[in-house]
This record gives sequence, structure tokens and C-alpha cells, in this order.
Amino acid sequence: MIARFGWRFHLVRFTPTRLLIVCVSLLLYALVDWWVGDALGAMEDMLAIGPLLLSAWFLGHAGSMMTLGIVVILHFALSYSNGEPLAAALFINDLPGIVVGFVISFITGWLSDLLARMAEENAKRQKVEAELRLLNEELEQRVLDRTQELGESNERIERAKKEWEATVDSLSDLILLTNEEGSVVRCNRATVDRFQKEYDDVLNHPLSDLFCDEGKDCHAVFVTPSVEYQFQNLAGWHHILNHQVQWDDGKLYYVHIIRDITARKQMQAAMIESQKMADLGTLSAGVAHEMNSPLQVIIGVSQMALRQMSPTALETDPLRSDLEMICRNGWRCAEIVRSLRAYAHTSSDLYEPADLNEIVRDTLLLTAHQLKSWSNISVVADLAPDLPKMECDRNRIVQVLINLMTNARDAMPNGGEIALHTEYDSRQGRLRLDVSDTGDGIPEAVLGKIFDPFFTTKPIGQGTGLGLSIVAGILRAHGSEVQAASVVGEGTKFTVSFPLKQVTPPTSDEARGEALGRFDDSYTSLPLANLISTSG
Amino acid sequence: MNKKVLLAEDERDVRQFLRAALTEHHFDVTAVNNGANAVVAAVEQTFDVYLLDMMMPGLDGVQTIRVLRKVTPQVPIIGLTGYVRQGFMAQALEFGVMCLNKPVVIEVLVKEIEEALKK
Ligand SMILES: Nc1ncnc2c1ncn2[C@@H]1O[C@H](COP(=O)(O)OP(=O)(O)OP(=O)(O)O)[C@@H](O)[C@H]1O
Ligand SMILES: [Mg+2]
Repeated sequence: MIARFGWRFHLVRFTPTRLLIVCVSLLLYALVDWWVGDALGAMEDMLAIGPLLLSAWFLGHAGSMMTLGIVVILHFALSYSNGEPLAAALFINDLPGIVVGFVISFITGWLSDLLARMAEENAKRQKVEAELRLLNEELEQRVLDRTQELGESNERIERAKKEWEATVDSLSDLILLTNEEGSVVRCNRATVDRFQKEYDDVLNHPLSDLFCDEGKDCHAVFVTPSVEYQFQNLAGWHHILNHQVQWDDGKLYYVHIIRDITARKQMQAAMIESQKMADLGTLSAGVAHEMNSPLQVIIGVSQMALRQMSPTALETDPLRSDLEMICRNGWRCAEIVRSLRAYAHTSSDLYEPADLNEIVRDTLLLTAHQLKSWSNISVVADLAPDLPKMECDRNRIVQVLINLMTNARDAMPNGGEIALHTEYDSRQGRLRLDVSDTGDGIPEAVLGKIFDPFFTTKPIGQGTGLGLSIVAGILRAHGSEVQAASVVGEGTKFTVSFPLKQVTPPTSDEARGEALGRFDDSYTSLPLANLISTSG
Repeated sequence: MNKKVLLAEDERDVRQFLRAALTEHHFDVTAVNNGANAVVAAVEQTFDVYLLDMMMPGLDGVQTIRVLRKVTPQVPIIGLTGYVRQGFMAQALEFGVMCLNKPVVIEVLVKEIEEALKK
């Protein structure tokens, strides 16, 4: 019973309304009991039940068994305080009323508790439902947010992918990805463009099918980290870089980057060529120096010996003709050395403004006596008037003209015409000089070689093959260009284009001398050193 | 009386040849093998003309010319060179020295020397 009370107690909540009801019912009961009390005598029992019922109803409604208990105790207490000695009788008389009241109050209390509990539960459920709804809404919002985020990141991924594709496609290098079997997994646009194929014809096909000739194995080219190679299927030189990559799936792939380096190779070749020319310059300077002293001795001594031969010796003396031969060949060597020397000079010291027409006329004057001996060859000069002056080393331009004219003569063994033409191209600001002949012409296959040193088609003893390379060397030093055009059987035309001003400082002779190593002071004595410094 | 020529030439064969050839043309030739010795000789004796190779070890032609001009400004100098460096010739010309290219025809050389002696 007590435990039950305790349980009940916990279920009852004393709201202000309920407390008020309890108070009112207690007051009512006390009033009736006190007021009616003994005066009504026999009615007492009946009346006692009334307030008890009433209070029980109230209390039941209030749902408090504990309050009921209190009411019962108060009932006894009040009965007793009225000076009524028959508490026990009252209790007995009152007992059915109390039991009924008790039961009613219990039921109503239980009912109201139930209702209250139901209401409470309902409220709770509503609250939970509300919370659930809130959670639900929140969840929906989050799902929405997440979807949007996903969409955005998808877009980003897509954009990144496109950017990468565009990047790789914009490169002119061929870029391919192959798997372990050597099949192409991916490639960039340059690759398909280069082979003029569709992506489908390249992807999933073996790499070697694309690059290697049938039956030829160029596999090694695609496994070496870096290699330069000339593919059969692609014109020119290529630099191939191969990288190994491992994907998340553990498989091995290869990235191949193939770059066309033909232009670089060509430039390198040109540089080597010009280096060769520079070396040739150094070399010829050295040769010129080293050869001239021995030639001096050969020529000088043979001439001296000739002079010293007894005047009585016959013209037909074999010794005389031998010495003459030595002397003659000595001079020939000296000639060769002299022409070699033309390479050694690139000094700009002597660059002065000069009239190209004047140079042409001077050359014709200088060579007048030789020209006479050129049988059946006429020289026509068609010179544009009032040419602007050009900065040049006159003597060397004369040399250019002589070399070109000599070649023209050699090309016309049966006679012909050499035409010299000058003109000013005001648009380019350059002077032009044409030297044309009506000779044999130069075959296509030979045309590319004529400027090479020592290239000649002339018999030994007649041509050294240096004439045109000297021309090219001199003109290069003048920032000028020379071109040859020829029709076999009709003739050849050499066109030279001169700038008016010299800009690039040509390599100095000083530097050349140093390269020869001829200037180191291996000998200095003290007094002389003093003399030099005081005279300095 | 024969004119006295001081010849400075580092290459033995050339030196011998020039000495012989000039002697043949009635010059009194003293030959030395470098610029320093030429200066020493020029200080010790008097010459009518100096004939210098432009490329010699130690004092080269131009340096030798510079010293000789200090020591004996009145003596004419003729240069000989196997390697025509424009700068070289120009430098020599600054001292009023003409350079002849090797190989030189001996008659041409003799004529040059005679020209120089006339001045
Ligand atoms: N005007 C020309 N007509 C036809 N062929 C030419 C002409 N000029 C040059 N060539 C060709 O070019 C070659 C090279 O010419 P280059 O002047 O360099 O040497 P070369 O004339 O043979 O010898 P060198 O000039 O030393 O006497 C010649 O051998 C000749 O075959
Ligand atoms: Mg030629």
C-alpha cells in the first residue's frame, strides 16, 4: 500500500489549479463538518458522506491518493476535535462512505491519471513528431545541399578534365599513354593529327604499329628514359621521353612524349658548319703563317740557284728546268696560301663607305689585261646610277667580284657573256649585285655544295674549290648574302645582297692570333722590358 | 762601301737564305734570331737599314720597331711578314714601316731597301 502510494505520489503533479481544488474541498468539508456537526445529529452520517464524496470527487479529479489519505486523517482529526468521542464509531459508520469514496476517488484518480498520462503521452508524441519533422526537414536540407555540392564538384571535375584535355591537346609534342602490353590507352590531338588518323585507329592499337616500320623493331625507343631517334614513319628527328607510372590499380603504364627536334638538329648542323668555317679561318691563318716562311725558302733558294748557275749552262740543262719547276710550284703553293688567307681576315677596321659601282668599275680596270686574254668572252656592266654608299672592305669586295667572274669564265670555255648588274632596293635598304654568265650551268645536285670549301668540279691543278667559299666568307663578314640560281646549259646567276651599314662586330684578328698561340712572350730580358715600358 | 743591313728573323732557313741573297746583292748583312738580339746589335753597331720579321718569339716585330725607333730613330725599317694581319701592318705603318709579304721576290726586296736608303 505504501509502495503504491509512493508510486502514485510520483505520478501526481501539483499544479496550482489542483492545489486550489484540494484547498477548497478541504475548506468545504471542514465548514460542513463543523457547522452541521452535532446539531443535525442523525443526519451526520449521511452528511458526512456527502462532503467526503464531494471531496473524493474533487480529489479524484485532482488525482491524488495521497491527498485522499490526508483528507481521511483530517476527517478523523476533525471528528475528534469536535469533542466527539466516538471516533471509532464514526469511522465504522463512515466506513462504507469512505470505501465508496475511496473506490471512486481511486477510479477517478486512475482515470484522470490515465487521461493525464494519455494527454502527456500525446503531448510527448507531438513533441517527438515535431522533433522528427524538424530532423526530417534538416535531413532533407542536407541531402539537398549535398546533392548541390556533388553537382558542383562534378562540374569542377569535368572542367578540370576538359582543361587537362585542352592542355595536352594544345601541345605540339605527341603524348601517349600505353599499358604494359604496349597498347595505346590515351593520346593527344597532336598524335592523331600527326598520323592523320582518327582516335579509334590509334587507341587500343600497339604503339609499335604506329611508329615502327613493319618488321622493324623500335621497341627500345619507348623504354629508354630519353632518346633521340629518326622514325621511319615520321619525317625528321625526334626526342622521345618515356616515363613509367603506376596507377591505383597496381598496373604499370608508360607516358611517352615525342618532340620534333628537326629544326634544332638543323640549327645544330648549321652551327657546326659555321664553327667549321671559323675553325677554317683560324686554321688558314695558321697555315698562311706557317707555309709562307718555308715557301720563301723554296722559292728564294731555287731562284738564287738559278741565278748562280753558270751563265754558260745551256737553256736545256735539266737542272735548270728542275729548279724552274720547283720555283713555279712554290709560287703555286704561295697562291693557294694567299687565297686561304682570305678566310683569316674579318677585321672591320677597313670598313668604309664605298660606291658599289665604283668597285665594279675598278675591278674591271684591274682585270682589264686578263679580260683581254679571255677568249670570246664579253663583259657587260649594267649599273644603276646614284647608288647609296655601302660600308665595306673594298678590296675584299673586289676579290668577291674577281672570284665570281673567274668562275663565270671557267664555265664558258667556248665564249659567252658575263653580265654585271647593280641596283638599290629601297624597300629593304639593301644593294644588289648580280653576276650572270651564259655558261654550262650548275646541276641541281651540285648547287648545294658549291660554297663548300675545297669543292670543285675542275681538274686538279685548275681549281682549289676555295673560290666560292671565300666569297661566302667575305660576304658573311659583311652581313651580306649570296645566292646562286642556274639552268644547266643556259647559265648561272649569282645574286649578292649588301646592307648599307655594318652592324655586327666581326671577329677580330687579334683573337685569331691568340688562337694561334703565337703571341705569348716566352722571352723577355730585363733591360729590354724597361726600355719598352719607358718607350710605351 | 756596302750598305749594312741588320736582319732579324727567327727561322733559320729563311735567315740563311735572306743573308745569302742580300749578300749576293752586295749588302753587308748581320743576322740575328730575335727582336731582343736585334736591339742589342743595333745598340752596339750602326746599320743603314733594319729588316725585321714581324712574328718573332719574345719581342715581336711591332715591339722591336718601337724600341729601335727609340734607340736609332734615323735608321729606316722594312718589315717582313708571312701572316698578313691587318692590325699588324697598320701598327707597323704607324711607325712609318712598310711590310712586305712572304714569300718575297728578292729583287723586289732589294728595290724596297734601296728606296728606303734614298730617304
Ligand atoms: N658560274 C658558274 N658556272 C658553273 N659552275 C660554277 C660557276 N661557279 C662555280 N661553279 C661550280 O662551283 C664549283 C666551286 O667553285 P669555286 O669557285 O668554289 O671553286 P673552283 O672554281 O672550282 O676553284 P677555284 O675558285 O679555287 O679556282 C666549281 O668547281 C664549279 O663546278
Ligand atoms: Mg672559282
